[in-house]
Amino acid sequence: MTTETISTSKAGSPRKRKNKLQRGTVWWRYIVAAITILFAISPVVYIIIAACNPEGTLTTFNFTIHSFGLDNFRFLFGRHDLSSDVTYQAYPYMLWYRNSLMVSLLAATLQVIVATAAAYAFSRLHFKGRRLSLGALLLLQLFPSVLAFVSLFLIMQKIGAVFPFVGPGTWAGLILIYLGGSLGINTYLLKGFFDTIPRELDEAATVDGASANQIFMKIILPLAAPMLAVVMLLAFIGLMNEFLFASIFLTRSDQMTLAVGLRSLINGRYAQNWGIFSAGAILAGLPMVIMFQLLQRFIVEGLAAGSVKG
Amino acid sequence: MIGIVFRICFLGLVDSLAFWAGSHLLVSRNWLGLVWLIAATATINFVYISKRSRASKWLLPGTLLLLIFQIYPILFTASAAFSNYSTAHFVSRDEAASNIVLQNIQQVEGSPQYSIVPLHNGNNVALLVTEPKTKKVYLGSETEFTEIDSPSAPTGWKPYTEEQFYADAVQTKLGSLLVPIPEPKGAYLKVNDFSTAFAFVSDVIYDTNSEKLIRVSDQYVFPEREGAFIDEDGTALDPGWRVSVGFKNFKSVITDPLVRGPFLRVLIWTFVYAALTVLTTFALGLTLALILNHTRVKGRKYLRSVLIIPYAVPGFLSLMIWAGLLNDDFGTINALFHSHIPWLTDPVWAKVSTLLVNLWLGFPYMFLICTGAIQSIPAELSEAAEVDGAKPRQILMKIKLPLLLVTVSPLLIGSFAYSFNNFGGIYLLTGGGPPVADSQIAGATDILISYTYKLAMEAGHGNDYGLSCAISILIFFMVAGVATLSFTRTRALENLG
Repeated sequence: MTTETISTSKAGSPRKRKNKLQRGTVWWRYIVAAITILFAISPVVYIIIAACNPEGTLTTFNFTIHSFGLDNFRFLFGRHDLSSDVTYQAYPYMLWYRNSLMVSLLAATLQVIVATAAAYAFSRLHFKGRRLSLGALLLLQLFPSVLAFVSLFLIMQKIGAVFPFVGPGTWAGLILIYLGGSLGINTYLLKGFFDTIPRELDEAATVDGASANQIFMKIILPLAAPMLAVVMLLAFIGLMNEFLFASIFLTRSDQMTLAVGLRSLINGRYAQNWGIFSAGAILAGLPMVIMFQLLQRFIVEGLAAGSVKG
Repeated sequence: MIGIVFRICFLGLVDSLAFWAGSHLLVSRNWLGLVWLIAATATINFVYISKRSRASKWLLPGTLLLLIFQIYPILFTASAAFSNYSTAHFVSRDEAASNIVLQNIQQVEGSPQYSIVPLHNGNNVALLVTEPKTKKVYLGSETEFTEIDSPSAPTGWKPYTEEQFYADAVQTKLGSLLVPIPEPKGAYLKVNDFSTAFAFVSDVIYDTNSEKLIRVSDQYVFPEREGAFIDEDGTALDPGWRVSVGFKNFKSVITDPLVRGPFLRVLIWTFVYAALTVLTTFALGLTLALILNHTRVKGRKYLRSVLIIPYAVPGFLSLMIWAGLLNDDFGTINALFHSHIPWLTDPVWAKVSTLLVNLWLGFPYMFLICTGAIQSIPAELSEAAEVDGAKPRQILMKIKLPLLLVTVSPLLIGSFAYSFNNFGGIYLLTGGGPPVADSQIAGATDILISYTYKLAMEAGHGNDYGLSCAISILIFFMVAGVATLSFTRTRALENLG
């Protein structure tokens, strides 16, 4: 076997060479993989067990068919109180879910729209100060908006004193802050991608009499659509994960996002609310994990281009 | 054609919004805001009407957002870092003075008893006051005291019933109501009970001519220091106002032992945390990538899908889950191993836990980028080395790793910068705790960004925005410095290659 490999690598065609199997024993590689997988998924498995056990406490890990039940999930959708015959919700979990989706989706969409417009100008139009503003944009990234959270909070408080609908405690204010936050990096990513679209295409279109708007709508946008989707997806994931600004801004329970809401549910009450929290975490995390698995390829591409998940 | 209609609609919307916002600013006398609003609206109109500014049409939305939500906050942070901005220094000087004046009101000696009827109009409260001497009737509110003709409540105002009057919400509203009256000078009416009020006058007055705060009884003029009025004992009166304090915040980081100790401790841990997080995640990710990226390992695709699960789970969830698993009293891990390790309550163990959890969170990312980088190394290189008789170890150390480092080092720097400010990674797991004796604010696992958060946002110790902003500025210089240094070094690495 060993000699065979060496001989093929010496004399084989390039195609054959690609398909050859590497040498060496393999079994220990599986063992390393198994250990790491155990480390990687045991918290996840444990959370699933805890969620499906209505009597679940932090220390329950005996999982039998008798202890199986979905009461923890039911609790999240509202609990039926037998004594007063009313359904009430201890925690507005579904509202948190909706809020998270709404805020993240809106902010991610707007972010991509604004960044796309700017990236198009930087990639295709000639104007004074183009290089300078690109450099400034890059420099600004050194001061992430996390560092200015105090200022942003105080500024929004001031704005909120005059226009209450964008002040602290509103989604509009939070979305605006998210919009400003990652505009620079997204513009930069998209500009780099637009640069790879051949200029000959728009030159030909210009000769045929197309305007800048038409070139953008008919040529650049269709070609860039997959990349725009990736950037938007990464922005969406990042925003779903955002905690700092959401926790400063949203203090009323019915306005909270999942991150802030679940924290308010569990913080300091680990013993009481563990089962419910686990159920909530699964409902919140599962769609993200599935999405991640389906879109793995695109996400990895985005990562290589320099984005970091929040 | 459609373009023109669209443009007119858009500008119409912007202008009407601006007009509406402007009227609000006008009412609240916010002149600076008004100037900015007019400037922004004028720019928008000019850019989208003019035929010349082609590029600005595309850049304007982003530029405006960047100006308001990135550049202005940076400037704001820089200016606040040189001020005493805090909950004790939040208002303007005039507001502080009038607040202190109202704090010092006392009942006028021998004040006649005014008979009153407490009123409300839905939002505000007022008093129907009968002057004891002249028997004239007035409507008195927070801002005015006007004579009215009929002795009954004017239209729009309804009297409280006695039962309503004693409700808690109404009591707080009426209890803080001070109605300015002309005689005696500078006096206020304060509600005594359901039907009576007395005249109160402050011992402290603010003289608008000399702009001094004066105590009437002994003509004591309050001196001022760093945005606060000072009394005889040298204590600053609350509230103070916002003034520039120069480099005081930065100096206190270096010289004030109460700030310096915790700050240094937090600073060191921030560097240790960020560096170790990057190192451990990279080491594990790289090792896995090297081990599993082998053509005879079957099902690599599936292994990869399982291994990236920690990365696919939203980070805030993982952190809260780990906080539960590591909980000392009820934690699963201690129960599972029948151990009593104080994972989150002992300073050293808490640091270990933090690193462990962040390793769990971060290694799949490193695994993904390392796998990508290894696969992009041309196979010809290692084969050529093999032909020349290089051992697998040599191929790894001399060819694969150096090439891989060139590709991933910018991402490693990015990862360091991210960990340096990874607020959630600390705050959601340990809350910065456990507490350490040298500081009420900075805990054992606090990094700089969570420390600034606690300084500015957590109640219980007078939120110090100024110091918090000063530390933000310091973080900026540190991260920028590290980034610049390493980018120039990696560029040197690339040039070598």
